[in-house]
Amino acid sequence: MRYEVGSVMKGSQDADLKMRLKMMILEECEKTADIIPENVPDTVRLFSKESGLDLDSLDALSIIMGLQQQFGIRLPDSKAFRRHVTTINELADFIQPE
Amino acid sequence: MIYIHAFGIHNVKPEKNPPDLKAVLRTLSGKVYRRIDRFIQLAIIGAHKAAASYELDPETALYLTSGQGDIPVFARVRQQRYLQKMMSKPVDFVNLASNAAGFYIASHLGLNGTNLFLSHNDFPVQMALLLAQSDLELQKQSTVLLGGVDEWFADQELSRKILGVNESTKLGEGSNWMLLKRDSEGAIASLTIEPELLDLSTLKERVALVGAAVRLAFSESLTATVINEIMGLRADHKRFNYEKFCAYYETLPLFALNLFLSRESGELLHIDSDGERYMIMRVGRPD
Amino acid sequence: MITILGGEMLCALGDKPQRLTALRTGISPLSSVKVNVGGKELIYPYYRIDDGSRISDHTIVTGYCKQIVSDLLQQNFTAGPLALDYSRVGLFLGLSAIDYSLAWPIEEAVDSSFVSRCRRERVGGGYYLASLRQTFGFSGPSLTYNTACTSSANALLGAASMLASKVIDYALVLGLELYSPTTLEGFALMQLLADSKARPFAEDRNGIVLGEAVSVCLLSRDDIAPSKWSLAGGVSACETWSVTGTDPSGSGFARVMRGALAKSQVPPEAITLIKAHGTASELNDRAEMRGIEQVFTDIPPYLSLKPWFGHTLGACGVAELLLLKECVDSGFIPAALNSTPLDAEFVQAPLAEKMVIDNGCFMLNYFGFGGNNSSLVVSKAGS
Repeated sequence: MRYEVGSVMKGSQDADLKMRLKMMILEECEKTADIIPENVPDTVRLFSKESGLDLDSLDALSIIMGLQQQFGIRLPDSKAFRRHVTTINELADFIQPE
Repeated sequence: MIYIHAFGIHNVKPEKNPPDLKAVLRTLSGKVYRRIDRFIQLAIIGAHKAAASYELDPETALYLTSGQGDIPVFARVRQQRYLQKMMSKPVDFVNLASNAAGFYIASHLGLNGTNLFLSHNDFPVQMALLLAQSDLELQKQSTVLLGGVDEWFADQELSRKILGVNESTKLGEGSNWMLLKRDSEGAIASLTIEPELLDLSTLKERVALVGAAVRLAFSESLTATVINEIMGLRADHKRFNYEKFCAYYETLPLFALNLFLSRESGELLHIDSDGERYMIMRVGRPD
Repeated sequence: MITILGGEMLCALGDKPQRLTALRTGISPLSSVKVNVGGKELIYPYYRIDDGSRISDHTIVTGYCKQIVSDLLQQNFTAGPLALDYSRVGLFLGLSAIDYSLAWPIEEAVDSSFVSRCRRERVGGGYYLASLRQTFGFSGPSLTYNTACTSSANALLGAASMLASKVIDYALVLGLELYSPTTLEGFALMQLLADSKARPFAEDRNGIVLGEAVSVCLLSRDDIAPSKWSLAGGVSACETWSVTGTDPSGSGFARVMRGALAKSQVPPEAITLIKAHGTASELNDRAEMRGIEQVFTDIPPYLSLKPWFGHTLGACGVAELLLLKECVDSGFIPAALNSTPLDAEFVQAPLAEKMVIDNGCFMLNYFGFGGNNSSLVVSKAGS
């Protein structure tokens, strides 16, 4: 399924988009049994200890694939992804700049 | 001779769908594992049953042997690629490396010793045990946790074909494990793997010399004619029938030995064949 | 003592004289391969044995194995294969792929007619050795190892055990790695592949270059067949840091190197050279160097052989041992290839100049997926 950009707001303001992102991340990383999407922080770096997600490089690859398949976003380099796409808000803005 | 200090049996005869192992694993271990497919779940369950209550030395070696290995993940990845035209999950690619199963067992049991994934077309159990016997006798390893894992694969027709078995063969799955040491103290039983691959006449000579109290078990690959000939060598030999408890999978000999340990005492002689040559294993359990 | 009698291999470098020329001159016959990554066809550097087809017919795979085994037997048993007691020969094989014998039909055509077309034939990891047993009549024990990049290194250790316990008198240890779309796609998807060259230990390295090899090594015991070359010992151990990576501190690598020295009863200062695993992935290279620094006060000369013929995964255990042996038997070890400029984190560069040497004690490192690490020590006595 591909995410259709229907709204015109900035991604970080789009609660629906952010919820979909969180669900995708938890699903791709097989974390749905441990963490509910509401507990994924918007402003904390996803790959930091503070996010409580405990993600590694294999998770980065899984998230990249999820972004590609569900949101049509291509992010070729997992290292760049881990460095640049740091929070849910930033990721949402990247998908939906305005 | 080496010694069996613990064992674990996981043996299933699925009818239509393979049982959900996630729940079994959660109940057993109290943990939720991610990234592991069914083959790895099966492997952990058996290893857990054999060793979780045993105080394991972290240096314990892990030898996992299998007939087909994790064929379902391989088939899944290829189907996604060629039929569904989609990318496989990175996790599936990682699990394609067969030793991923050993990695997760090591994580589960806190092991950091040698970790091997072994296979053999005809004698996956005997050859792995032979390696364990050599390593233990040479004191290259002090403890070996050895298991045979084979998964029931949903495509039964394909399964039978790549296993080279006939269409009427009922297939099962299992994860049967033994904790082995060179040391006899506290052992449940002794175990000897005869390294030679014997021809039928040598096999018969050996069996005829075996004492009356010894029970005989035969693998699925022995024909009824050969079994009758061997059973006819001595009137006082009795057969150990494990067959009614299982359907076919390639590491069944470990199930046969473990079932004997769980139900019987005395000595068991297990005979297996590749169609031409024979291998013998002996288990001795004190009364 | 476990003796190393000889070996034979097929790899991108060609036959033995061609291999030695490539190692002397630093010329590596790099080719390329198309890899389908998420529907997009990408081209990666690749080292191939030849331009022949691979997956169309799995007997090609067994054909390569039979060829090198036949060559090796001819070289080492001039009286003919019958001079060997085939019940005392063990067969050991390391391969990373789950199964080429099943791979070919599945990879070529997954469709509804596949099952009906599929032959009723036992396949599986043990297929190749079963085929060798049948062809040559070997009737001793055999065992196939599937532990990613350490597969054939671990097979060497298993063979050494069965030789030492006198279960067998000779062992043929094979390493097998051939073109597999599944493997290539997996490595590409995981973003592990380099776009041009393998540059182990270099600052600008950017990943692994994969390669093909089919290799076989003949081992025995000194009471049966003495040799100047011996497998002094080795250790294989698993670290559970991560299924795909290693502890960046190098502690997992250091553990097996220390273990290999202890099992071989060789002090660190006696190591002439380390054949590093050196995949040219940043994590692996740095962890290997950190591991070496923990084990050796004075770091011995080291190099990776992968810039010549690629990372041959399951085959590298045997293939890299044989390449090293061929070099030393010819009186040299080549200067490291593609390794400058050096990673700024490293204090010592890989072997900068060709080493003139015809004996010594060598450490061989192999590290793989699933936290599987192995280190071996082999030595060649002086004349």
